[in-house]
Amino acid sequence: MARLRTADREAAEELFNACYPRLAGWVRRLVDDDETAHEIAAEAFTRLLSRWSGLDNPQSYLYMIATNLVRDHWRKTSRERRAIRTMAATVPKEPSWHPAQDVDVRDLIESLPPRLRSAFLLHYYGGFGVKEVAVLLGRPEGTVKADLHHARAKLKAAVGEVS
Amino acid sequence: MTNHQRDPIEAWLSTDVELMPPPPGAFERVHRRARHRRAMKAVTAAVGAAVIIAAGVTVPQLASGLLSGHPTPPAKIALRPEPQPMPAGGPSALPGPRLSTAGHGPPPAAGFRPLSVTFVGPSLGAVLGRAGRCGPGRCTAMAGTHDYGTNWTEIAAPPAGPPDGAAGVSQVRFFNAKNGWAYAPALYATHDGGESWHAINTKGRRVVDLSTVGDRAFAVLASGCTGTGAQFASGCTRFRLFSTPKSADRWQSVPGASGTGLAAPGGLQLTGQGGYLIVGGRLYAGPVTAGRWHLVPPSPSTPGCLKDHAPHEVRLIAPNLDALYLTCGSTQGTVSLGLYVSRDRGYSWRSLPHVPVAADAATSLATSPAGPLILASKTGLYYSGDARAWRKARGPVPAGGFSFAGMTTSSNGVAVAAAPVPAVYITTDGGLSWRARSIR
Repeated sequence: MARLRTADREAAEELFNACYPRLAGWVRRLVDDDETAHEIAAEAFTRLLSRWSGLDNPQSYLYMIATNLVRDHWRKTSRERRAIRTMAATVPKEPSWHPAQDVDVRDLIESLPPRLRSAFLLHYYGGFGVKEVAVLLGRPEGTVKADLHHARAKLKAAVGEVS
Repeated sequence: MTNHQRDPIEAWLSTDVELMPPPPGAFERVHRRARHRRAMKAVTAAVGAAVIIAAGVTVPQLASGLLSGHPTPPAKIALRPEPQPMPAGGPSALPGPRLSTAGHGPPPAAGFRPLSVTFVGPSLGAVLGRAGRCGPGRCTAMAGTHDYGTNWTEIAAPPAGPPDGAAGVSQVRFFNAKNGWAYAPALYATHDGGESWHAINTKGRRVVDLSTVGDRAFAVLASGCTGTGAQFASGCTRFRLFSTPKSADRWQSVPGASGTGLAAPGGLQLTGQGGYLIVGGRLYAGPVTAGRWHLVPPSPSTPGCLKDHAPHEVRLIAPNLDALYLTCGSTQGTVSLGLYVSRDRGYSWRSLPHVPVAADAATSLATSPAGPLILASKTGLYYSGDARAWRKARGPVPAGGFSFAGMTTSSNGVAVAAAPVPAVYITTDGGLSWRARSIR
């Protein structure tokens, strides 16, 4: 039994080492600071490792957990962030948009309907193919493709409204 | 890109993800929390046992292949467009037993003498050695085990002989049951578990060291070498680090990790968080992706052996998730090895009590996730649980001592004798005691 536990732990550590840096980086682009990104990535791994032996695709599961945790984080902090944005609205905006300004885009993504948001994050940001996203979300591939199309259209429309 | 200013969605999506290595000790915390939560779940003992067994069987396969179909982290791909120096080529060995069949095939070749050992999990491993008379290009043999060295069976070996100039092999490393490399000084690869091997053209360079982690393999190649036979790595004047995805032969030079200096076997050490390479008194560090490495600049606390480049200096490094250990000492007159630890990836160092082993006797340093240090030497194996107090490990010491020791898990480790004895040495208690396991 001790040997099996060792095997379990070793495999878990291998998975952790292979996936953590990218997962944490992925989360970091969706939250406001490194600490939160590490917290969410660690929590995602904790949930995965507490039940991973029954999973066929632990990496996909990790990203699904992280997506849900990011959503929860957004929900918790939305009131605070709205308040901060209201205060910041008095400060003149920079004339040009820069890709590093993730928060603006993040706000737009956050405003997507949950159905579109999950597909969008997993496909365009998590690097999962349409087929994988379909499996992850339990939807037909065609539906996922349509959701992705609608998500992009909504985001572009939202960008137009903002600008 | 005229729409960069107008379409932040496109720009946002095209911005690479910045990799964020875990903080020190993160895995330990995660593992502990997960274990606690699992314990809290109301599952029956029978179901729990089934879960653990299933994990032991399936998870290594899942984990090792996780990133194969996933985009390589783009933020760290900063490869300079240097030509690939090592296109695949050369003859293949006749198909033979795969590593995955270890334990179910014919016995190892008569007179098998191990030189190098590799494990890809808590029980599956392989040794590379010599068997029979060494004719031109053919006396390398391999054996595999599926029960951590208790039983061995023959597996296919690369069509190579002992080191001879830039030809021949003396070491082996498997990433998993499929992808492996035989090297030092030539380089052979297998992607079918050893059933077939093919030569990699190193263009005359000698492979001094090779290691694997994450989803990649890294190799240190040296040039300008003058050594022959087993001393193939001596006299080398230049080095360059290469890496490849584990399941392919796309070797490319790692930017930032090349230059002058004598690269020694064992100088390349990788963890999931990053890699280290020590060459001629210089320490290089970098990501275990295809990203750029850098020379770690000396600081006031840097040990002298990393500031000078004395040729008669033994320098051994061993990293784990929390620390990087370094032993060093001159082979000319020093009676013991200095020991140092860095917890910030080689930037600052703290001195620890010396290791009670002569510098010219030390051959290999290892550590494990749990932290103990194991030093292999010509006089035996030494163990320290706290990097301060050392004791000689229990168990037989072959004539000439050991050439290598490594830990595959916190409890399991393996050592190779310096002399050609038909056995490897196994520990299952974290390095405190070792037993010989015959290969026959």
